[in-house]
Amino acid sequence: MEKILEVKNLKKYFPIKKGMFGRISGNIKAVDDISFDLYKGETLGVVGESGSGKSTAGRSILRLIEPTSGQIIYRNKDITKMEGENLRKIRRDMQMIFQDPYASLNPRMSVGDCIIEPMNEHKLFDKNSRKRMAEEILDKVGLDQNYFYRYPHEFSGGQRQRIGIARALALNPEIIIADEPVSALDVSVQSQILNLFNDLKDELGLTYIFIAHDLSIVKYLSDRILVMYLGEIMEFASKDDIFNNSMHPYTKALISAIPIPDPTFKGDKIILKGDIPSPSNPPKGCKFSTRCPECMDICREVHPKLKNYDGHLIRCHIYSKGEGENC
Amino acid sequence: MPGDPTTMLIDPRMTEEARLRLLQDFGLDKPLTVQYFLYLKHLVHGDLGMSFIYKQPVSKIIMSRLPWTLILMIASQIITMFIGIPLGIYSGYKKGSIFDQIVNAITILGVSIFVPWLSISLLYLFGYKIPIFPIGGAFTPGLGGKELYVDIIKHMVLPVLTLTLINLANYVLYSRASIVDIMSEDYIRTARSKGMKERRTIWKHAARNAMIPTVTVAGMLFGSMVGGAVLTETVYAYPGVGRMIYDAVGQQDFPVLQGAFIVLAFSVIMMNIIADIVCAYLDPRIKLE
Amino acid sequence: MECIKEKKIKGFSSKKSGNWKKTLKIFFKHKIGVIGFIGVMIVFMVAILAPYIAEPAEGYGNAEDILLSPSPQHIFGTDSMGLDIFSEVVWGARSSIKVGFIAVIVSIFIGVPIGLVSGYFKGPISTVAMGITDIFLTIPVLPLMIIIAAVVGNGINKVAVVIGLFSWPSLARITKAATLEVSNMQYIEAAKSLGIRTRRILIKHVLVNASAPILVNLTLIIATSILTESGLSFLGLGDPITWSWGRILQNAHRSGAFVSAWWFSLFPSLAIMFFVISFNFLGMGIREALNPKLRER
Repeated sequence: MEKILEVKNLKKYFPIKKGMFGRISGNIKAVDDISFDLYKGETLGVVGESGSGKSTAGRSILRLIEPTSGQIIYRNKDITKMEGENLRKIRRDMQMIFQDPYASLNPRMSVGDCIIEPMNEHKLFDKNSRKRMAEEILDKVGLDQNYFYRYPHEFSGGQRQRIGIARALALNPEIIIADEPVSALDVSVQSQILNLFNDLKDELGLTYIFIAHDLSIVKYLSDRILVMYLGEIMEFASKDDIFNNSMHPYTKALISAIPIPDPTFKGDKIILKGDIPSPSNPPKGCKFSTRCPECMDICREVHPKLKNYDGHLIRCHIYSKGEGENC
Repeated sequence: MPGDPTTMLIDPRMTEEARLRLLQDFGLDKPLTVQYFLYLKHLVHGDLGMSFIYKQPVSKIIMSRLPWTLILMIASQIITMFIGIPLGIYSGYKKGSIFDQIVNAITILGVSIFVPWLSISLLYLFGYKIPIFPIGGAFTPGLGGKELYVDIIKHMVLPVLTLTLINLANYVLYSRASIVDIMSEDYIRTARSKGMKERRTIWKHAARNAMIPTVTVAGMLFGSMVGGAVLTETVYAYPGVGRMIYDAVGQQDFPVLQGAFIVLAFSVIMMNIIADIVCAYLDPRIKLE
Repeated sequence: MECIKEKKIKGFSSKKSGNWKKTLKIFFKHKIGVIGFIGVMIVFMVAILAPYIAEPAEGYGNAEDILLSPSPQHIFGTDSMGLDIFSEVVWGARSSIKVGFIAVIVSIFIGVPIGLVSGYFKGPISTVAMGITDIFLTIPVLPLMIIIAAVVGNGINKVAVVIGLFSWPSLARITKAATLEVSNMQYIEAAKSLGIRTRRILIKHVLVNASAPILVNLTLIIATSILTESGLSFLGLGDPITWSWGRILQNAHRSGAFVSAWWFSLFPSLAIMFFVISFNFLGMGIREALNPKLRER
């Protein structure tokens, strides 16, 4: 499989300023050292609760937020510090689909203009065929070509999300980072959009990073799943491994929280106690130690490192005898 | 430069030499930038230059007139706030009612009235037609003691009334807008469902919160009052800085104009600082550091 | 595949959506806005059609015509020089419009870019820009205007520019606030991620969506500019050649007939009030029409 994106030791810290002079008194460690590779054609699911840093990570990769440190390498080009024209060119290859369909479209711009605008900016295709291309894209996302002249407020949430997808496709990107694209939609519409994602992937050869807080959504689409907590990777493995052979207590709790549509099912739900700690003052040792049902003494003292078990990455003291670390 | 100040100083019978020497004394022969640098230098020492017309230090002239202007503006500011803010809050509370509509109408009028016309109309009504108040000046010479104070107040009434009517609108609008905002917030809707006593406490809090943005703006509004003060003093021949400016314009006495601006700017900035302090006192969220 | 395709919704037109038509429709429903609009139109018409409405009042009138009270020949009466006040008011409307518009254009050119930059970019630029704006907003502006007007000289256009030079701070502040709100929206983030150039984002995405409060503020600037101009004229800094309502009032004051000839000061003052109220109402109407809460179907 072709490796198209490498994220190395990505960190994003937000400084906390206090006092009259804005003295920096600490940092919110939104993303605290994550690394992964992305292969062409795969869907990488990234899950975590609010505050896990998954959205920040996605935006940092796209340089919508500037990373504090680390590297982002796209097709062997280090794009971490790219600027100006170079960065704009790279933007063609990586696009984002946003969470809020009501806030992610310019209310004063027609659907068609929305899609054509990036084409104009990057001077893609020849001028006259842009409209036709936009109409084709509308068709691909399941919208009537006649919607070209309409405005966002005339559409429902699901339709707006399709428009957002169409806009992301305008530049013919290779990677799409979807930041909780269905969280704001009705459940009945969610499945439609998820199916659309799948179909587009096959049709256009896309690669996804799919960010969500709901494991069940991620289960449907992903090939590999990355579990984040307070800015760190807790577990990272293939979908099957995560669901059939989950190792991290946090992952297990997330899986057990997925509602099973079977009234006779009598499984045990793992309920996590306590609140998620503040990202500016994480617990000493393992960040999950304050809520972990399997917490040991060592967990409160020593910060566990990410270890690789034959392709299944885990950060947990329960599995302290391991071969090699993943850095 | 139109209105060359030197023409004011020069006696046509002066010789060229004497004229040049006079210019030198005033520093008017140096290039403009140097002039202003010197001006700033003098400023730091409290020296605002000499008036072209009165041949006296500008600072002395201004200081003799500033108190009168300040009395007018401060008195007006206090009355405006004490009437305007409650009016605005109550008007917003009863949004849409007849009371609110009347207040709105008066506000619109207040904003669109031409100050001199209002001044003169009031003067005409209460100075001539119904002669209760004096028609100009700040006091009647020759009075002393308690009588003098009463007299001063009598002379103040119409100008203060003018200034108040003009600035009322701003305070009413601001406080009304803030209370309307606050009222649409959830905690007020919860208050409505509770009993009378609790409601009253919550309304007290709401009113207090509504005042804060208005007081914040008070400093800025004080500054905008200066314009009105200039026009009002002109009409009432009130011996304050405003009237002084009017006279200075007519006589092209530039040092006086500059000095007036600086002194007024300074006063306004002081008022703003006071307003900030009051604000910090009212709003528990802001801390003075 | 069928479940993905949207069913065609009947009744939608496939033509360009009438966004502007909708705005106008909402505007005309609002009584106050309509009144303001009519008032503004009246002022405009009077200004444009001035030559057809009244003879320009020039020079000196006849001695016997001095300070006549309103009559069928002189519906607003005559002034201290025997000239017809009605004509003065009518021709004064031209100055008012001119002053309003020049002031507004100067304000836009300075205030909007400063507001946009302060609101969109973070960091020192924003702080400095806002600092300058705040200074202008705090200090008493009339004395400063007086000094500059005294230096610059008379002339209606110059006065208008000076007024504009002091009107931009409030516009900048409003622009900044609106820009700030819009800049935090996800569609701005989306535009950035699509690689759209900053200049285009600022104009086509930010400014377009922030324009409502800006437009409202523009009407307010026009409204207050006439008050300022009248004040400056009253103090003697106005244009001695062109008729403006402030100039009429200055004449009234100087002639000492302010009180005895009530018509001398009443009609120009009413004209000023009419102008200010009309533009204020227009602004209120625009605010209602562009209110996004009313537009969502």
